[in-house]
Amino acid sequence: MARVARLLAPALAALALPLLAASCGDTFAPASEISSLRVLAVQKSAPYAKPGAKVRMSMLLADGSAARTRPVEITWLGGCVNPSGDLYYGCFQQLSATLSGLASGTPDPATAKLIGRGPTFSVDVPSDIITSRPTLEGQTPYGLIYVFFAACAGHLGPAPAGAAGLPIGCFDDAGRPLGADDFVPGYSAIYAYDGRTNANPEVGDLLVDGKAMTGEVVHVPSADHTLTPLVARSSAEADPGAAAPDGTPLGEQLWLDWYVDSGSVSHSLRLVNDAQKGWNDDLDTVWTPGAPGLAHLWVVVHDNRGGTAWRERRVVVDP
Amino acid sequence: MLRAPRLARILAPLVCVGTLASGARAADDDAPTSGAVPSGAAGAIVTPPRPAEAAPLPVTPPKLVEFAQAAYPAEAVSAGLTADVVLQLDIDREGRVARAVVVTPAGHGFDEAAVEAASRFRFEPARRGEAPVPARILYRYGFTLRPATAEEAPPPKVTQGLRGVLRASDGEIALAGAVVRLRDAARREVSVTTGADGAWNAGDLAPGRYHVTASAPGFTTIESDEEVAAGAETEVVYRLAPAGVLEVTIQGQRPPREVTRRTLEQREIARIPGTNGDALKSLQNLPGVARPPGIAGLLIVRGSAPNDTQTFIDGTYVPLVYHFGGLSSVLPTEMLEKIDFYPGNFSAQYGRLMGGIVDVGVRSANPDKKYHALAQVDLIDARLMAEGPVPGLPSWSFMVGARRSWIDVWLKPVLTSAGAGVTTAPVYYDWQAFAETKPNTHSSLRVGFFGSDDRLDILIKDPAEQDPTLGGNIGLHTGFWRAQILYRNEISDAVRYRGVLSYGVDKLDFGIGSLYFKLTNTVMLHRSELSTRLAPGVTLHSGVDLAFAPYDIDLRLPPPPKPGEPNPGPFAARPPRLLSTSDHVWRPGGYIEAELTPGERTKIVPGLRADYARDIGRWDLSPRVNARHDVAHDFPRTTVKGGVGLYHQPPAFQESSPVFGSPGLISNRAIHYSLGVEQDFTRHIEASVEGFYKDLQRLVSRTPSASGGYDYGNDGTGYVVGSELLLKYKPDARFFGWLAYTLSRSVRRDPPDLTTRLYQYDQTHILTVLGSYKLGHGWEFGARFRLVSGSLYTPSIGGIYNADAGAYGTIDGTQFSQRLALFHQLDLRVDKEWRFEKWRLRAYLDVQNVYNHSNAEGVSYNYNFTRQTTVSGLPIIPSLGIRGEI
Repeated sequence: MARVARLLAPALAALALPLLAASCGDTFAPASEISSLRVLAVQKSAPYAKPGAKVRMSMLLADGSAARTRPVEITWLGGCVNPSGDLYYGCFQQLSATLSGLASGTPDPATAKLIGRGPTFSVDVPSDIITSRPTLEGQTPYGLIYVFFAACAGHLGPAPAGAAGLPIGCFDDAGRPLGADDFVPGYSAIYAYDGRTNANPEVGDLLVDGKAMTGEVVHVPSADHTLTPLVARSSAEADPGAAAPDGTPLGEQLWLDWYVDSGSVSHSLRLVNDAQKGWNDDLDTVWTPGAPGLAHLWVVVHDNRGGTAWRERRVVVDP
Repeated sequence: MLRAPRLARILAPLVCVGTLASGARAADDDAPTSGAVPSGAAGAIVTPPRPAEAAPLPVTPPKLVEFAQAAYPAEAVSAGLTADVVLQLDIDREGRVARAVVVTPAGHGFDEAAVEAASRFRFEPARRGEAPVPARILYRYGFTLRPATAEEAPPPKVTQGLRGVLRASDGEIALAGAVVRLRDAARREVSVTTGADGAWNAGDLAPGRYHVTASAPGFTTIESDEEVAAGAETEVVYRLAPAGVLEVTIQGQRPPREVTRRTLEQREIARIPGTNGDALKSLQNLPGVARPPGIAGLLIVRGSAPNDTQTFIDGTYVPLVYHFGGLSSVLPTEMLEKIDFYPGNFSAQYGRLMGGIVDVGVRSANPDKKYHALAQVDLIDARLMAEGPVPGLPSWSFMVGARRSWIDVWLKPVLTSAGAGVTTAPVYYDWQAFAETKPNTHSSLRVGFFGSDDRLDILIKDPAEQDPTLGGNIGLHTGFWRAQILYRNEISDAVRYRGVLSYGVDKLDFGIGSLYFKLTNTVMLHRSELSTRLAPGVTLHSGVDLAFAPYDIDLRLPPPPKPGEPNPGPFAARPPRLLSTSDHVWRPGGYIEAELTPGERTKIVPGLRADYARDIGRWDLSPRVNARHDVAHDFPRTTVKGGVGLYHQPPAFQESSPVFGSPGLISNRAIHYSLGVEQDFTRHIEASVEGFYKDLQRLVSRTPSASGGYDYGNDGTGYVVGSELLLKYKPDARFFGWLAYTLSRSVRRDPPDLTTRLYQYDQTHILTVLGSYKLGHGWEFGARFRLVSGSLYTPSIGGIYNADAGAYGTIDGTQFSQRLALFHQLDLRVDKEWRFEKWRLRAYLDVQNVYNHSNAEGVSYNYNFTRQTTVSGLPIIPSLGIRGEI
């Protein structure tokens, strides 16, 4: 057992490397700057679902490319229930079978129900999702569904042979595969519990320089602006599955992402609520607009149990 | 070619006085037990009364008053050989040499010549009180060749001098601040003081005979006559016995029971550039030790995982070696006597491991019965140390120390300005307290208490872009302490016992946000070894190695990926598992090992070890055999060595845990093979070349489960193959250094298809060249250069968006299929010492990465893994330290 203490050494080393990276080598544009096709969030009507329930999923999509009005195909793939090891890539074999059924022309109704198009998708949670899997020691019984999606500024099709990851690809009119600027594959997990619930966070307004935004579009000067999200404190729910070693109940961990498609922000991510230390009042970011014209601002709030909410604003940056 | 007998050196001036003489006593565990004197029968030397029983009369060692020149053997002259012959001299009450026995032969006629000359020595006899008594001493007779004549080799400038090293007779403790006086025939006197390493140098002297007196407080003064030959730099080693103590000391390293034991001495540890004089960092310069990636403080030995190697302090396992993953060691260098490092094929006394062993030896307190203190501060930490006799307990000595980092002083403002809320900035402590007594000349008892504590507590308000769960409150507390009793007793010439008992606590408390890992581990360890010489050339070592550890563990974490498993995505995407349990680990082990020396050239060490692990409910039997043979026994020595053995390592906690792993696992297994050669080139230069192969079997790895997923299983295999070269200049009065090179390949095969891949800690080439030279006037300069293959990493071939985390996860390419660029770095170190009447001041400047090379330490990706850049290591870092000693 004495060796247990040594287990964390490699973990700490692994942790140290990103810290080193953050300080020494990170010269990339941050995720908050939208300059290509991006999926910014997927919200589930019930982040924790009950067996037999229906869950509706909605996607927040942004296209920061030069051609912002280009058509985007969105496809959803469901049906991956309780994959091996709860790992998302444990679904890929099953997804390949689903896609094969789709490619055969007229899929059977069961297969067709697993596939959706457009910014929303509904998933039926099997009633035996919890009972059909073995209970793990130290774990409240649960079930798990993975729903995959792909947003494509071209045409979706089966992934090239030998490609790792999601077995679906995005192609231009000439059949050439498109890259990450035009194609976003992803997934979201729905956990099912008998007795637990989780609500999505609540985001009120998004203040610019402390002022509420009225109307569809507001005009702002080309200068730095402080953006403030109004996140309801009730968003930080108790996490009934979590307690500190001394028995102290832990809350949810919440954080938010800032996104802009013009200019940059001083903080891409902010901690909203720490599971132990509680609420963080400092959620602001300073936005430095880019070229004058229409700009989009988004704030997306996540909790660590699959809950998501967002607020979007459009502003015109005056010359 | 002219030849001249060189000089005589008194090694241990006194020994068995009067009717007491028990034969040779090893100075430490490594000293040879051969050379002992028969006892019992009339005419033989009788076992001495123990000091406690003897009348406390002052003892005066014998003093050489008439030196006799030995004839230089013709065979040696023609071969150009030099030699040292260690003699054991029995000196009678009249000061005559009654008997001279060769203890360390040199061959080529040296032994006979030395014995013949020594039999003509005359001594002032040893005295107990005023009465002359017989005594036994060790005496080294040195033979060197005088430089050739002008016709044979014409050195244009002929200089000569005398220099040497002064050490305590008990162990390798250098006697600093001792006074050495030289008087020539005209009674002109030169006086020098020894340095921190016990070295002294009288400089250039006129050829002739000098009477040398060496004295140090608390030690018996010795006198000797030395011949300074024209054109020859004469070097001597004097060993002073503690005043009033009767003992025989035979210096020398017993050949190890292992195939390879690499020992770092204190001076080497303290002066290696780039390590800030840190004890355990110095290990990373030895062959077989890989350079740890990034700023991690890991010991990666012969292609094994860091967890496959363990560190012991005088036989007691410690869970942490470094503070904060590599900043500094948990034990200060000043307290160490040496570090023994076994990279593989270690003896049966160690078990439950497949990698290597590091055994740190704590030194004894200064035996001069005076108080000493040390204070040191550098940019990282500050430390204090004190040692001396225990007040009121004259037979006890103590050594205490403590250290505190002060990086929190400057790091807290940096973190705060970066937006983090800092509750506890990174801070570490360590502390040590040892008390030791030697109730008689052949036993010692030491009680120790030491520990370490690291902690930080910060609130990250800007979570990580690629895994936002890794933000918020980050707390880390690691620590341990040990109370230790170490007892050694050379019960007789043939029986020796060593036992260490320890009790302590390990603590690990790590948390990020709502995830945590908390472990409290109460550790009770015991190791005992009884060594019995059954017959000449046959010594049996038998021992027990017990570990009992009740523990409490609370954790809330997602299960870690299994070996060979792709990245499971951000933490936020995986449900944590809970575990809160108390249990205990019980791992008893025992071993038996024979040390067979069928001739003076050969040693064969077969052994068998048995280990039980309660957590897996199994016994493991590990037979091993190591052997050494001196192809050339005399100087220059040539030794071939080899070994083969079975090594077992129980699964790690998370692998066999019912919550996180798969119960029913058995121990990992490795077969170590090694074969090598050691060669002396000069008295100071030696080389060692060794090839090794580790056949890895039953490795815990992922294995297909019945449900179509993966569990842990014992289906992994692999191997490590390589060779190591160490070309070393052993420390002398001015210089030490070495070249270490390792060529290796570490491979794993993952189930189910046993795909072969390089192991993540594989480093093909590891080259280290270092040296340190004393310039004089207190200045010392050192340099280290390293050239190492880049670390392996798993490339990302794309990203997939995890909507619940709001972040991308990587899609892994082939595991550890890419290598970072070659690492190379030069480090320099300058030391300057000032000596004052009662104290010394030392300052050092240790500059790492002198030419500011941007070494690749990792790869960083943008948010969606479409772009990558290299993460550079630390730039040029000067570190300044200052130390005062009294």
